[in-house]
Amino acid sequence: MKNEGSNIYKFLSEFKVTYIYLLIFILTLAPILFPIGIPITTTQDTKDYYAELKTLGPDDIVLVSWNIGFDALMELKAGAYVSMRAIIASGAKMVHVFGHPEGPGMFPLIFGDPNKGTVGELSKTMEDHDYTEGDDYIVLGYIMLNEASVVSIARDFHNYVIVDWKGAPISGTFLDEIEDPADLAMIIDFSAGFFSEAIVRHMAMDFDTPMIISSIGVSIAQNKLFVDAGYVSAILGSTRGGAEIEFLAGQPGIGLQAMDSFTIIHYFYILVLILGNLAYFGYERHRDMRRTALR
Amino acid sequence: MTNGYEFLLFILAIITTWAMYLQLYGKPNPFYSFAQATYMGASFGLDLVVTFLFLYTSGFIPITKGDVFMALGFVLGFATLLRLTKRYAWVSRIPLAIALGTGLGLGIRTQIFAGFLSQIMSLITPFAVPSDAMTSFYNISIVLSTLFMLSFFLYTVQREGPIGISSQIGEYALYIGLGAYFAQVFMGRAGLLVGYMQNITTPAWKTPYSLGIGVLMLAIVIAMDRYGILEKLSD
Repeated sequence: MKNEGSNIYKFLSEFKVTYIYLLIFILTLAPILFPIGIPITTTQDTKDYYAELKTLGPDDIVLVSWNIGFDALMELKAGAYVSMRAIIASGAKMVHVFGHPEGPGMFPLIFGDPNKGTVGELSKTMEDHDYTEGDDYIVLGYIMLNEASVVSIARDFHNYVIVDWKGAPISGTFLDEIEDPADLAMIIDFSAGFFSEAIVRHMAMDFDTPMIISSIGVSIAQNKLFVDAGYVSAILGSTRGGAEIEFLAGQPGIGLQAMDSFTIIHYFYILVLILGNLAYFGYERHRDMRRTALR
Repeated sequence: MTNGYEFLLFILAIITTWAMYLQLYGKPNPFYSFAQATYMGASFGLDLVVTFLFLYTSGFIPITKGDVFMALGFVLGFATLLRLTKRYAWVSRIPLAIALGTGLGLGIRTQIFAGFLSQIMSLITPFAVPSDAMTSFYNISIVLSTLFMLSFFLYTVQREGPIGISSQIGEYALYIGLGAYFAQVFMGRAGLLVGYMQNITTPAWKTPYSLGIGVLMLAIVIAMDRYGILEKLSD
């Protein structure tokens, strides 16, 4: 019996990691293709984030900073779509800046580009609300390269930025109303870490501008500190936050769809963690001890 | 469906995606080598173009509008390139010193508040919140954990007696914190995977192509491995 037991531990210990990766892919894909509808709950953080979005009105101007590339967009897109839809529906104007070189390529996937005939995820929403580039939103492009450039946007906006990402002058647009971040109703940052902290320190902190952050999972702990310190009003955390805000807004989409895979992978990970520890204590550890005795 | 050009882009994206994931096979393979080289080249090209556009819109255009001061930035930028020459390499230290000093000045001024004073102030919370037991528990646990953990990082005293107990509890609190951080990282990485898997299976017409190409590439890698040519064709 003892030998049989140790065989199980040996099997677990020597189980090829490649098969675990394959299982992860299968467990991720299966619920996407065949949704289950596992229920979720909403956290206070997401409720606070959504409540902040609901305070916006037609006279407001919002700075949207995209401190993410294509990869982090995969994690934050559910929350980004709902956030942008809420702003568009409120009638508030948006000014978009990028803190990642992939920003200019990523943006048309969300907002589309009418000049090139590109359709984005929000094209229909914008069409419904007659929300157009130039009048309702302006894209300044990749202008956040480092902390100094964030300070330049905050302190010397109209000297630092003269044209938008397509070379059109920004004078004569709604951006004439902006002298510094104090004139903004809100800052929304989609954060993978890059210059989010600089925005918090040089805009939200220095000018008391309300700020909310939609953060990738890795950066939640770091960004949460700014919520505790009072500089950031709320955080939307990762894909989970995206699903919660979809639920709150009554717009079920990719976020809620992702939760099935998300939940199953998490349970699978816990299982692997337990089995891995069993394998270690039941086989690997004894093998190491036997080796030590032989030496 | 979609037009031919977009379909071609989608197929290329799927091939490079699976090629990247085939690294998980555990052995070097030509698909991964191809995807890695392509990614490096593409991201370098993208960076170059986007940065050039930034220089044009934020540097060159202001100069043409009369903001001559911006030209100083170009001069400093050019001076950085002098690092490539032996004779004038010392000049490149001037822009570096300016960038370093500016960064330090900008960072320190705000870090003192955002990273230090405000964080301490956020810990000054009421221990007992009437009719809200959970908030009271959170406030107490945050303050105590901070104190215990700080005692763990005291290096100038022996960890004995009350300090020893406190630092031991601090160490456990640190492990709990690391566990929570690790879980958040896992959640984030799982989010990336799930998000991308949704991307290659939505809308539904993409699914057979995505899965078919993935299975085909995996089969090719397994076959190449079986015949011993997998690692020969890799970088």
